[in-house]
Amino acid sequence: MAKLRGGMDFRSGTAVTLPPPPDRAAGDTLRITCPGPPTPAEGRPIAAGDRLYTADHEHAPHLTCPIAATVDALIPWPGADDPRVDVVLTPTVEAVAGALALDPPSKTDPDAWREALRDTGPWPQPRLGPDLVTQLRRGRDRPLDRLICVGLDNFPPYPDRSSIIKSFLDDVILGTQILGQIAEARRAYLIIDPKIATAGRLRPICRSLGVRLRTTPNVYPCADPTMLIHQHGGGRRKLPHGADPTTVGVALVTPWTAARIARWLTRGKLDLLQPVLLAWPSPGRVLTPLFAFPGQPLAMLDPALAGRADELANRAVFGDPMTGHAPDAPIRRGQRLPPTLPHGQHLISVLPAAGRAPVAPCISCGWCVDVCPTRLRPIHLVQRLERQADDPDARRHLDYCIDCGLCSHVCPSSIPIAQTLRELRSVSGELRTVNDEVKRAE
Amino acid sequence: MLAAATAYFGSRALIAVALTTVSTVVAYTLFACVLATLRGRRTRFISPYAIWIGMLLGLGMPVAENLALPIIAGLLLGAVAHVVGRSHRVRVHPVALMLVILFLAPNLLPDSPSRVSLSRAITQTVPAVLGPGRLFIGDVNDAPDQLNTEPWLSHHDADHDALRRTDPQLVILDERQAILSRPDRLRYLLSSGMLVRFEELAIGAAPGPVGATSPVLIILLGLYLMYLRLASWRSAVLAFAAALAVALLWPVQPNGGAWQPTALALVQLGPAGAVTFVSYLLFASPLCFIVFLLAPSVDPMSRRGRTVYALLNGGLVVAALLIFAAPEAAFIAPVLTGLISRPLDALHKSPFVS
Repeated sequence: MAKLRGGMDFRSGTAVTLPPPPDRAAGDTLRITCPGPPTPAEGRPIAAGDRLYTADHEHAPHLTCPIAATVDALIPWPGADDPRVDVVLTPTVEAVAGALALDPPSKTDPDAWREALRDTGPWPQPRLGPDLVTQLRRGRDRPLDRLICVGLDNFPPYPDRSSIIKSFLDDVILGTQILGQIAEARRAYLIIDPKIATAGRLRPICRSLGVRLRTTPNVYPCADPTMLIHQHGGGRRKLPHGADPTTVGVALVTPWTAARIARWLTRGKLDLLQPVLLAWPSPGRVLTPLFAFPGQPLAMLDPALAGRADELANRAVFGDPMTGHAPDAPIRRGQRLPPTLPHGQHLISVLPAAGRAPVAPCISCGWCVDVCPTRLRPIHLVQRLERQADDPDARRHLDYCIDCGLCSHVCPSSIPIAQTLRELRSVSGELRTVNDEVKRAE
Repeated sequence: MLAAATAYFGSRALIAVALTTVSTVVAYTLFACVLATLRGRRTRFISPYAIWIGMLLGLGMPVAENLALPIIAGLLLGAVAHVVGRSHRVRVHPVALMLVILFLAPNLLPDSPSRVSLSRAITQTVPAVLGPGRLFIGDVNDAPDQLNTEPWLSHHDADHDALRRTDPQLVILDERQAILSRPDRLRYLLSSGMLVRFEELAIGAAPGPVGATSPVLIILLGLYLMYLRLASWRSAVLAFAAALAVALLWPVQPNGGAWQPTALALVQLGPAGAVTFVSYLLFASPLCFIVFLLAPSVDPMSRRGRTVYALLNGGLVVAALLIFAAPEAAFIAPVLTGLISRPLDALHKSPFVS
């Protein structure tokens, strides 16, 4: 596989050991993004564990306030269609607790767990599907065949999930077992890279807790849900990109979700700090592990991440360099604010400074076809959809483009294939909605 | 490759390749400007692609006495490259197409001047004159007046220590039937010097297209292209396997008897003779030039498509050589397979989309 710009290639990185989450952390101002209008009003005090946002939908997760603070400001996101609101929380004390003292539900009562998880939301599962609460709720409508804790790294050079498994080995396995019981799944799986399995301790613990251990080489992009379910879903299940895995009878969770559940059960405290790994493009300094509250400004994590969201757009991404998205923030007084750490985001990649090569015409080299993990013909798909955006056959293929970015990465003509397909997907989605409405009207 | 061609064929080879390249670039740029004006787009003044295909055409043609041929060929190529090629609807390599046109056009017009015919150009005055012990580098036509050039241009004569070299491609194709009929014919061709020695053929010290006569250089360049991932080693292996299979299975009639596969007729030559014959048949032909340099530029995008394409390419090269008994006929193969290269893309199916 070709090297990434900045000298990084696709070979698996070395997992780092995270320190234990600190009991107390410095009381910094947080800016947490709520999916809708927040519960507390501006200027009101709020305690740690109080509800910051109450979900409209009966089974969607609420949002918990991580610190005791005063609501200083409510900043709506720009755009009439965007319901998000940022809540600025100024802590009332200098040092705040890193975990919430809260009794966990009984291990054998799935309904109590579901309710408790909803109250302590949001439990996001980035890059794996909907949040945990939604997956568990949908699992009741369509019984889950298996629950998979995905220990494979989304981007092997930056082993974020492997690092969490390495650091919280027992907790991840116990959490997977508990989640399997809560989800009432027939089997619970832990999928990891063989390098971690050779640690030796994993297999007997998994066996004793009834968690099935699967090992698979961590090759990009094997951690994508579409690829995972194709390989480990059993049978011939096909999950379109971005679709809910529960539709094919599988729930997917991250190792930190499993570890957090287990730690809650064993310690009686729910972790509010989340592990964050800062990934650097220099070979000597790859991952910096730390713990942070969601809503913490990125500049507090590292001075290199200082700046407004628009200034950081070309310097850092949430997630990995291939699939990550640029940090975003609402606008205040005509300026975009500095970005803050989103819930459940464990990896922030600092990008190397690299110029963009000029785009040349396609030379039909077929490299994009060779590297496509779902064996599509990316450039053909772009050409077909550019000719006819509502081509049903091309749209069917587009559903299985997992947006891994490999086609753009290898293209010798520097054609932004993945980016174009991403744009075409949104156009295609809009067209699909319009067509559906027209059909309904007819 | 160009340096080796200059060393073996003299400055005329360098001039021929340079003329082809320059005329290709000029024609390509002119047509690009016209098309850009019509379409309202910007264009590059000099395209590296035009330089590359111009050089390839120059290396793919024999050194002819008349230098008008490379100029005409280059001008035509510059125009054709805007219509066919890797990024066009018709994925035929423009150099292969040009060589086929240059080969076919004079043969379709009976009254055309013989200079324009590639196959005839090869058999006419040969500018490369090599002796087993004494090497004359350069064009014999440019030799000083005091030198007697008569023996250099004469047919093989044991009394002279210099001899006229014949294109091994033509010799092996012309003598194929005789070699398969009479076991001692191949030995005679080799011992008399009518067929250049294989080590000379391997390094390109033999008449023929300036850049296509050295399989060693072409294979090295091909390996470099594979290293750059611009060519696939699987395709090359499959093409050679197909070429070998067709060469061995091609029906022949030794001594005017019953038809039989070449492989059976080769039995009488013995293992060494059979290997020598097949090696000459494959390596004296433009097979390496096609498989390593032309075919990868226009191959299908899918691996399955490339497999079919490579098998067809290798097989058709040998079939065309044996049917037409002319080296340039081999270029018909990449043209034909280029026509189906784009449809072969469709052989690639995603298991996710049923």
